[in-house]
Amino acid sequence: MQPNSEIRRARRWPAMLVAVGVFCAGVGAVSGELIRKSFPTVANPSLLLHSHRGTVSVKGWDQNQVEIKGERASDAMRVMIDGTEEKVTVQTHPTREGISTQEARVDLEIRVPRQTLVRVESEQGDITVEDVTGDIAVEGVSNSVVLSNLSGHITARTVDGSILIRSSEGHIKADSITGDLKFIQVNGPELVGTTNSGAIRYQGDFGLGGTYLLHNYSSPIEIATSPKASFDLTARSVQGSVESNLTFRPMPLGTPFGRPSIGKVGKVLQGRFNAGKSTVQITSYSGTIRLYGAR
Amino acid sequence: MNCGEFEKEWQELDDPSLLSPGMEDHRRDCSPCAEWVRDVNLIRWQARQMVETEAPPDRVWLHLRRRLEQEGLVREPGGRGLLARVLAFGWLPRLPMGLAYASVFVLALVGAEYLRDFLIPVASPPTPTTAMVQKAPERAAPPAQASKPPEPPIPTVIAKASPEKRDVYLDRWRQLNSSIEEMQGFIVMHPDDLLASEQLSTMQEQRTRFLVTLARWEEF
Repeated sequence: MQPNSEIRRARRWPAMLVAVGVFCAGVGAVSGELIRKSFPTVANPSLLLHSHRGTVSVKGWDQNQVEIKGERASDAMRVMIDGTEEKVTVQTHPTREGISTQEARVDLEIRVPRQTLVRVESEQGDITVEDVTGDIAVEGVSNSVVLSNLSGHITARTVDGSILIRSSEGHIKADSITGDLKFIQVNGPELVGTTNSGAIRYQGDFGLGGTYLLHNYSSPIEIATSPKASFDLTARSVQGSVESNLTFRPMPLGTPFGRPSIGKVGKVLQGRFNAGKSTVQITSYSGTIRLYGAR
Repeated sequence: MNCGEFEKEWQELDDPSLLSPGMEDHRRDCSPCAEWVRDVNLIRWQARQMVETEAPPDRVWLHLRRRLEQEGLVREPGGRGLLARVLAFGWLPRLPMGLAYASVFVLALVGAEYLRDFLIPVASPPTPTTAMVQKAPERAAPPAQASKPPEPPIPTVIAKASPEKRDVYLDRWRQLNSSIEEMQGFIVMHPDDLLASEQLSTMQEQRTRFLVTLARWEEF
């Protein structure tokens, strides 16, 4: 019995070594290579980021410095970082063709001065931008985009991914083909949200005097607004329905979008809510438009 | 002129900035219409600005042009076929007199032969396929099927994408085309519906931008 157990113990050691080796290799592959770089900048530099795959997080801070932290899953992706006081560029490029999705991953976390002008282009991976007052442009393909606490000109476009903009103000444009659009407490002189088959949700009070245009082709559009909101509404769905539990008054003649050219086919709801300071136009071809008062 | 007539005439203008004297009078007296004209002109101006500021780099246009040419959707101007060049007859006066007469004779002969085949079709024995086609009307196929437009060709930028992306892109492409087709059908029935026209234009922009986006990512 004893010799047998000794033999077994002796055989166990190489197996354990192999297991530890495999585990370490796995950890190495997952943890990848860390990237860390920073540049002193002016108060309002530009950040241009072009990323293939991986999460991208850009956050404003109270320092005149751009700090880039990242993790590259493999050396199949080249990460090029270049910076001056006025402009910092970060680009990821595949070094060869046919790399796997896991190999192509580069996660980036970037801190920028609050007034930075930010442009992010990415093919896949979640994108978040927050606490920035400079202009923002996000162009994605299959990305989920979250933009928070921003002001200025904000543009977000995706093919597939959803776009969420919250607690922001300015000239805002969000456009997707199949992605959902969600706006939470978003105000400003202009908001345009367009998606072909995605749903749209607006939660807020439409500010004081802006123009809000929300269009889609085929999914629901939901508006949850507060009792103190003030806007003129034109909502129309050609094949869907328009539902509302808000009380609207007739709009005076000559109000923009209150013209007969709005079209007669489909369900139309037009009216003034409180003083009608902002202008809201919502259209869908076959989606249901629903408006209700939020608490 | 009332507001309705003003709006109707406005829609028929080639250049919305050139109002007729009657419209100009109405615009002066009617503040809502004046405001509307101002808004539309502002939107047009902003749209023009946008084209200038958001124009992609030249290489994107070159790339698109190349793709469209590959798919046969556009053709280089001046690339006329041999037949078109022959029928232009610009070469005729440059030939010596004898050769010119001979050319006219040959052309007339070829033309007569072509017209004979064209006007008097040669009866061919019915094959099983043609027999089926001839029987088809008896079954009274629905006319809507015959008028359905063919699906647009799949752009190369989608066809060449990796297999896992291709299906998704193709689905989006078809979805956009289907919604555009539906909206075009609606506008044919309701040509005065300005909002529908705006939505159609948005969808067409989305389709173009979709292809531009894919082409841009294909380059990297």
